[in-house]
Amino acid sequence: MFGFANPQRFWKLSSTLMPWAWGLCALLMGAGLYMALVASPADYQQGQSVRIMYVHVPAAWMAMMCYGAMALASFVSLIWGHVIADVAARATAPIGATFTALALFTGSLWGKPMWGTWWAWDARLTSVLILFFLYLGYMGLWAAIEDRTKAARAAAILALVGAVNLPIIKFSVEWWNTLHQGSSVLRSDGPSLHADFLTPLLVMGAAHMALYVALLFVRMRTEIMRQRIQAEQRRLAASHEGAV
Amino acid sequence: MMIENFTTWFAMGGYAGFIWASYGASVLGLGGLGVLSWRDYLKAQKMISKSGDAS
Repeated sequence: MFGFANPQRFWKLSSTLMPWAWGLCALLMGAGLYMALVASPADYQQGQSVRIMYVHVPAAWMAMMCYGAMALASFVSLIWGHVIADVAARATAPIGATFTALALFTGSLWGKPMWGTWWAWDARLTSVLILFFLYLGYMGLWAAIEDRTKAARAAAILALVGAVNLPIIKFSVEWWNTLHQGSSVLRSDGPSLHADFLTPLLVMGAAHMALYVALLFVRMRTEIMRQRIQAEQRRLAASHEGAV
Repeated sequence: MMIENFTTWFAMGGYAGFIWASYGASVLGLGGLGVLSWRDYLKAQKMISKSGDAS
């Protein structure tokens, strides 16, 4: 696995995979949106508002998945010091933050007609809001600390400490009485959703996953290029000082 | 007939405001992130090729 931790190998691999990831994302997103907005039926209780689920749930899944990936990459970076792990964690943060913001916003838009309120301080909603602040804190640390090594270390520690929030989010609906409904897909006894709703949800979930991979490639490659530019600038500055 | 069907579909059973705002925010949020990421990518690529020309 660590073979891919080499920036040059990653560059080659991502050159091949990136167009495929974008293509797959476009295909799945097109099919998913058609299923979500046109082909799937209305719910007998929630009516057409159930269609919000097809953007809200995948965004919430990805919000947690991105944080998990960021924490794992941070762990690898802290223990083995792999440069590409830092790059992956840093590139994931804005993507995860966007998914989290969307999960909160679309959840609020679903909550108003179903619960009669835009927001409630229940365990699930509050823990997802904390997740959003963790993403902001992580990005803030990278922006605030000038020394790259120190910034990577501080951000990695925050990412690892914040990972404790992931099981809290997942099990909040079981541990506490919440306004938010319990899990209906990732359950030990299988999904409780009918296939008419489950299929578009899974297609939209896969589309969001493909989008994450495609965006991750773009952002990681950008970060690698930035590091090369900075290294080149430092080399030029050093050679200039040497000449003076 | 088709327009009537479209109007009914667009109204989303009275939940149009909530549903379209959700999908609109998702398109704006994720699309915006995609555009910004690509813009930064192309900018970095341009700078790399510039620095390659200079050295």
